[in-house]
Amino acid sequence: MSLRETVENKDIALIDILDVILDKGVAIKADLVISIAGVDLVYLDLRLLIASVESLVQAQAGGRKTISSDQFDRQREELIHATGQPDKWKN
Amino acid sequence: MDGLIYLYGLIPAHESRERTLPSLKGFDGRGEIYTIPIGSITALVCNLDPHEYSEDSIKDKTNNDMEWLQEKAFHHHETVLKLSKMYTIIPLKFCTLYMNQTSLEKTVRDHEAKMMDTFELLTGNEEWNLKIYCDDELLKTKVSQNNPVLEAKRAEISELPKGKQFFEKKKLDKLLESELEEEKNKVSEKIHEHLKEFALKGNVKKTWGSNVTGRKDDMTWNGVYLIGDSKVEEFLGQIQQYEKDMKETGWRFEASGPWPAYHFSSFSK
Repeated sequence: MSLRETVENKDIALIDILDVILDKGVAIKADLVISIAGVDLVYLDLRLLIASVESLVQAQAGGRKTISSDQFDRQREELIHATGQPDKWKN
Repeated sequence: MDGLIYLYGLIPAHESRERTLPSLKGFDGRGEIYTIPIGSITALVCNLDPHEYSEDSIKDKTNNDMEWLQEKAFHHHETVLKLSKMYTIIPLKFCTLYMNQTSLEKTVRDHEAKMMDTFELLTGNEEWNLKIYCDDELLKTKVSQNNPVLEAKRAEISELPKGKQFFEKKKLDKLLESELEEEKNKVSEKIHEHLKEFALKGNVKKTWGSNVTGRKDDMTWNGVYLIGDSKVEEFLGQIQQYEKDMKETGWRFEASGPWPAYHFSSFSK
């Protein structure tokens, strides 16, 4: 596989997408509904977004905890299997 | 009454005639994306309900509804990315909305000449992004050991009485921090300048804090490059080489692309 294909197929994080579609996308300001009040939504949002993205990152970190507890359960089962001990947690 | 128009991107009209637009769902997940021909340019758009997508409700959603934002940001990205694989496209920012078709048409006509120049610039070229990260602790050790300014300062401190040493050491830590930042910038800048040799254009973007990236290491560089198709492999190969050579000292390189050319489609100048 070429380097290009490898990079192209990598998963992209939300922050990479926001970094691109909010920070530097072209805007033709005069006609944006959103900037009617003279406020450029994109800059306004970027500041607020940092807070949102932060909470998303934290939420994802919380999600990982659940996964690791599943992993722990799996590992425990594997250990039981490997040592031939009866499963103490099962009645 | 006219509905709102969500603009994804602009393409040359002749490309729109040559390749039929595939069936793609619009921003609200119900309507379809369609084309509006405006002179030598074609706009790729969908309709939105002005009540559901008022200025206030969009602001409210982007600020308070992270799931909504994530879903819609992905939708925008995936749609524009798909279109960019078919057409030479000027991609628009997330949530670029027009009151009605007339106002969209007028805006496009006003910028037509510059848009045509942009299409020319983008043809045969691709946008790539490089984020450079650095493990401060690892690099700090290296900077601390090999820095003549710090060496001199240390020698100076060792001559001082004990009480004074304490405060001077505090100052030394501060100096180390600033030397570290300088070193990071210097290294990243050098890499950027080198990578620009493979590119038509290279721009520097703001870096993001670790509260946003969710990473432990620090983003030291965020660069975008417009690269000719034939140079991309070489460009990525060079990044891979940097990664290989600098991994030990705590540097990480994250290239992504090809992106729709968001950073090289500006015609405001």
